[in-house]
Formats: sequence, structure tokens, C-alpha cells
Amino acid sequence: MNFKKALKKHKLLIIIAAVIPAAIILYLFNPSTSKIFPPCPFKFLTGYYCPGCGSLRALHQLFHGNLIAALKLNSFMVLCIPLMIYLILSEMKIKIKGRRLFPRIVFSQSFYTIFLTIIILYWILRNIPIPPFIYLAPHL
Amino acid sequence: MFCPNCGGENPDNSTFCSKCGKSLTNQYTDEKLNDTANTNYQNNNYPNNNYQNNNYQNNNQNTSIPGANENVPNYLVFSILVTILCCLPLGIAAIVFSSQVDGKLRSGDYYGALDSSKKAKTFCIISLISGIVVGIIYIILFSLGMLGSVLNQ
Repeated sequence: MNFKKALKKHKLLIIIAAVIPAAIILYLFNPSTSKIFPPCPFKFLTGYYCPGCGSLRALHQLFHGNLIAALKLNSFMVLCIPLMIYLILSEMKIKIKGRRLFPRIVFSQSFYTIFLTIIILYWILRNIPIPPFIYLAPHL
Repeated sequence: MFCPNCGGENPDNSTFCSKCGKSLTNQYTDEKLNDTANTNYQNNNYPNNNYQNNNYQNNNQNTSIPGANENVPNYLVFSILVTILCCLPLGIAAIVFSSQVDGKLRSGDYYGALDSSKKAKTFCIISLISGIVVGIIYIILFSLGMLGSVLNQ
């Protein structure tokens, strides 16, 4: 129980302590050339791309300022980044004068339906080896 | 019941408007508490009645509604991150539960939302842990392979 309490109390610190070294490693080593990063387990087991394949390589390219290379590797993840930044800021519950700076958004059902449809379509389409779709698979 | 904000029609027992998301119970509770506050102050001959009254009302707005959206996390970021980085279908289940949290909040089902919120969290943690386990297994296999090739030479 004590461990759980401590975990809750220092949640933010633990997350920062985990994310910063990971970001530095990701900045220094390119996942497409070095072998220190584990492969996607889905790709490893089935040979097919998953919706997240290429996101480590894309983040590495983003850290070096290559937006286009990042979009080629995993466009879905890169396009999700603004949404995720807002959601993370919103979960931090930063308050100014008692009001949340980034209020919690209650999304509509159609938002979720569209979002899930995009993920599943992206998952299927990027595995089709025919010209318009091969650009969805990680490539450089 | 019609929403005082946008005029959209809602079921009578809902606490939030399904069109604009504004609270439907807010006004009612405020009026009620305002009344009791007024009588209390009158009985006690409380000075500065107006000021106290307003203060009470403002505090009340933030705390009285149990369905205040702010209190039920939907773990959407966590589930997206887990879906993208751990590559597991469990992350998609987590997103589905996040969607239930928001859906239930919209219809005013606060406890149902809390329940779905817990489920979303559980799925996120399960897929995070399995992602980490797969990563550790990979690292062990990789270092064993390295060791093997070094020993062979």
C-alpha cells in the first residue's frame, strides 16, 4: 500500500525521470540503424505493420527537425502529437485562479468512432503492397 | 427537459446537455442552496448578506455537482500512447473504454463513467506492462545473442 501511495504522490516526477533519458537515447541513436531498440512485437510475430510501426524512427527524425521524414515514417502518430500534447497538459490540471488552464474535453461519440476507424483503416491500408498504400508504410 | 443554454431537448434525468455539454442541474442546485442560504442568513441577522451569499454560491458551483467532468479522467492519452508504442490491441480496448467514459459523462451517468474510467486505466496498465515485458525479453535475447557471437569468435 505504501508503495502505491508513494507511486501516486510522485507520479509526475517518475514520468519525467523515465521520459527524459528515453528522449536523450532516442535523440542520440537512430532506430533505423542502431540495434538497441526492440522491434515492434506485432511486426516481429506476424510480419505485418501495426499502426504504431515507425513511430520511434519518426520521433527520432522529429527531434532532429525533419518533419517530412517523420511524416513518411508514421504520419498518423505525427498528426496525433498536437492532440496528445493538449490532452497531457489537460491531465496535469494546471490551474490559474482556480480555473483549469486546459479544461478537460468530453469528446462526442462520433469523435471516438472516427478516431478508432482511422486507426483500424491505417492498420489495414499500410500493409497493402500496392502504390498508393505503400506510402503509408514506414519508408524514407 | 430543455437546456437553458442552447435549448436542446434532453431526457429528464440527465445532468448534462447532450448538445452543448452544459450542466443542467447547476441552476437548480444553485437556486435551492441560495434559498437555504438566504433563510440562514436572515435568521442569524448576518451582516453583509449579499457578499456572503454570492461567495457561497460561487463555491458551490465548483463542488456540489458530483458529475463535474473534471473529476473523471478518460485516460485517452495513455490509451493512444499505449496503442502506438506498445502495438497491442489492448490499447484499442482502452480507447473504447475511454469513449464510454465520455459517453456516460454526457448522459450524466457519473458512477458509470467512473467505472469505465477504471476499466480504461486497467487496460492501459495491462498493455503497458506487456509492452515492457516484451521489451525486456527482447533485450535479454539480444544480449544473449551478442554474448554467443563473442564467444564463438
